[in-house]
Amino acid sequence: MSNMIKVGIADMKICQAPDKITTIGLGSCVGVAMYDGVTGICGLLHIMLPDSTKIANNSNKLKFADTGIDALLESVLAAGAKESLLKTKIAGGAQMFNYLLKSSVGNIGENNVTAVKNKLAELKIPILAEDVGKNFGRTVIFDPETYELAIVKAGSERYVI
Amino acid sequence: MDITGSDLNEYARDILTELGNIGAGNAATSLSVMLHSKIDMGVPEVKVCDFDGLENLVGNPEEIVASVFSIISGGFDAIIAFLLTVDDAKKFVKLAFNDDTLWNSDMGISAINEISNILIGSYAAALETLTETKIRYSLPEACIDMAGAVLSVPCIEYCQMSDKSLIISSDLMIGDYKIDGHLLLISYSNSYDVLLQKLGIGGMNE
Repeated sequence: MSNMIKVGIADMKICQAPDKITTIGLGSCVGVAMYDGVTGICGLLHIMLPDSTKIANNSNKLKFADTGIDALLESVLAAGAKESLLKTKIAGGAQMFNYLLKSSVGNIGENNVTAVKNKLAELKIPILAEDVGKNFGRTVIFDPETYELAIVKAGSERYVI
Repeated sequence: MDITGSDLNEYARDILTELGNIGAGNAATSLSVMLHSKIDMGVPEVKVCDFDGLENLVGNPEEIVASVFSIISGGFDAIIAFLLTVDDAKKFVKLAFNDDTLWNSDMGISAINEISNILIGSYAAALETLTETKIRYSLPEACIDMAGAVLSVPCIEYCQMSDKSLIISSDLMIGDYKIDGHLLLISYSNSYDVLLQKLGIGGMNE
């Protein structure tokens, strides 16, 4: 029997086959699936904001791209993944509204995606596939058996990256 | 008064419930006049919750909703949102404009935006009167997508200020047509402090 592990907002969990791991309704948030391409150990992170250093209220590390990815890396390694074999797939970072809140946070989705890419580049972990930006929400499901990240859009259109 | 999950006391909760009652009541009256239809209103629910709670506010976060958001500013910060399931939104637009085809045209979103503008304006007017504060509200913007994805927008905005959001949720029901809309006032704990002060119960500790 395989289980579906659910990751909430500003949350992260570790998963191994035959289980799958999902996070529901990514809007401007970004989902980062990090996996060891040999053992199939994987983790999924759901971040909300790009940069922990720019915000005073930053005690929850999983809220931010920078500290969240550090925590994700630490957890997949602790679970037995090999750092040299790590790969990622990312999705999310949409702009749900065109002008609402733009003055205060800018295009937060785009900023989140940039921050995730910068952090992964800094850690030298490759991004094998991405489905980011645009203007729609996404539910993602990562399967550590096939290393496929399935994306489900509102209205049930589904594809894998 | 510092409000966190545990110490939103009964008195503050009652006041916020009443605020929701008056705000949503005002909106319901406008809607009733507009639709020539009877509107039922549930007792508003006041919730202090974290991010996941906000995402699950209207049940299943994967449910496709028609949502309209407007930002409140001037004195305190909040978002007023109106959410309906897509099926209800279709019925709603048909009822309001007496037009079957409107929803499927480019005008569908504009139509739901327009009705929501009136609801949000009525709610904001009630807030303005009760708090004796000049309130501005932004032009409402509509988005049709998964509930989780649209509700992550206020989440992201407010999690920069606080780990807790405060939500006053009121249901507007057009019983004859089985339409159930959610009118929400969403804010974060520090801003509700200001709101409560403006309502004359600031500086009060348990």
